[in-house]
Amino acid sequence: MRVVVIGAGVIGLSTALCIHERYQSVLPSLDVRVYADRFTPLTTTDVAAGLCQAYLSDPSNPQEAHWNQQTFDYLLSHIHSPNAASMGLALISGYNLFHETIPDPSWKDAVLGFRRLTRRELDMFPNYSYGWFNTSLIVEGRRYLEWLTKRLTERGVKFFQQKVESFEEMARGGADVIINCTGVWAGALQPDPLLKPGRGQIIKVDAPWMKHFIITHDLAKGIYQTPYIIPGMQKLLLNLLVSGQFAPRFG
Amino acid sequence: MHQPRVAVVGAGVVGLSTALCLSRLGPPCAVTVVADKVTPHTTSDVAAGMLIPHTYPDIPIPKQKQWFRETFDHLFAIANSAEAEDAGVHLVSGWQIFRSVPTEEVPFWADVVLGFRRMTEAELKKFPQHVFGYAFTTLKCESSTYLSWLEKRLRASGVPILSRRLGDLWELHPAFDVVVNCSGLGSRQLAGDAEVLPVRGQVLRVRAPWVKHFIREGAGLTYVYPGASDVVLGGTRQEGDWNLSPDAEASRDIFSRCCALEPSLRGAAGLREQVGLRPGGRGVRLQAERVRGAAGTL
Repeated sequence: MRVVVIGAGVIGLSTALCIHERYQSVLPSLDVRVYADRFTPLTTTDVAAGLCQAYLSDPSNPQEAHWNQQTFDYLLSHIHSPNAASMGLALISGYNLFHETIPDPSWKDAVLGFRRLTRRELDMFPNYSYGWFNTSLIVEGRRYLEWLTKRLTERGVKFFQQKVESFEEMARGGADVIINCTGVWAGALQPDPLLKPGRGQIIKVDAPWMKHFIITHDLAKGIYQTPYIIPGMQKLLLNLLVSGQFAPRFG
Repeated sequence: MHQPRVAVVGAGVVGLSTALCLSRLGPPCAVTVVADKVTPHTTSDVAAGMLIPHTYPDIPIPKQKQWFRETFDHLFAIANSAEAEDAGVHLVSGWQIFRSVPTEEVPFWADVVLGFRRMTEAELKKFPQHVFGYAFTTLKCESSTYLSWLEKRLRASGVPILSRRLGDLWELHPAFDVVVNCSGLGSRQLAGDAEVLPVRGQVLRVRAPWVKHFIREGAGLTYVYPGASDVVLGGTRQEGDWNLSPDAEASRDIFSRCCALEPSLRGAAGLREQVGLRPGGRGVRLQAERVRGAAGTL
């Protein structure tokens, strides 16, 4: 049984590992392969800050809320291990800031220690009148991809640097199952008119005294359209410019 | 009427802060700092600089709270200013955890720090050996950075810092009218204060930039305090111990205790050991004395 995963970002590599971990013992002939035109550090995942925070409004698909919770719980279970740092995992606390009072998000019990900001905390952010404080997780893309790659390599999963032009090409090559994890380029392999790029530009700076994330929101503008600051393992991530429409399936 | 000539003895955080404060007073006085050691060789340099106070038994709680609040507010303003990086003052969130429920559920400083609350069950899962805890946000004042910043400001204000090892405070007479003794453990000799005794503290400094939260266990013997350039792991409280050299056994023990709280520290790099002798044996001593000696009055 050959399973081909196309894409080597966090979705592709996590998918490959998940499948191998779950099915290799029952399917000894299982052959999982990863095809991608780019590998870390050149994937979209490598750019993302990796802060685990779901969107404010409930997703149209209720299954997504469940997936968010599962992902968070899975990563949280690894936080206590000595390997957490080499996986790129860390707990991180911080501030979500708003210009108006808004209802608590559906994920308030998924994250840790969710509460509203006190007056003195809000005084630190004069342009904002309301906010939340909670502890979440950060998964540093590059480190996590390196860790996933090591786990996959240990399991004998093969990687192919190749731009896949079509599913047929993979099928002709012997793939029984093909999983499309190509992110924003998924539309090149199968029609997906709803998929649009959500271009994000960030800058990375050295500010090692910053221990909290700060995410501002403008409900009229939508997610990530206003500044955010996310500390990483080495350098801090700031977004100053975000252009392009925001896609429902941003990675 | 001449300006009073004030000598501040000691260039740790208390000495330098006092000198800066005095130099801004009106009416003006001529301030000089006299110190045997300056940063990075003071006791303050070893301290992590976390604003989580101890409770002193012989000082009224409202007074301790007032002192803590003024200190917190002062440093909080710096943390929220453009000076934050140069001064080495930043906010840090984290947890104080206990193996059994403490008798006092809410410490006196709870409403001085930010966002103080009890930890949730989910948060306590990170610490399987602990049953209770507080979560809050406080300040870390990175000692060496802060001391350098204070020194710079003193120099800009025309306050000299004299490198001098005194044998006795009387040596400052008659050059100075007022002596402010901020010499910490040095008071034992300089002011003949036999009650001051060292409380030896050993710490480890490691590089672990993924650690974003402080963890303080119980009364604070074991702690993980992340800073701008390193994470301070501690500690020890050895009364009457004058040994300034790091002890390998103590280092192993500190590392082991801290890894029990934060297993990812096993992957930390660049371990450095430091020892400081806290001026202990008594609580905070803040008092004025008019001392008359053979040669005159100080």
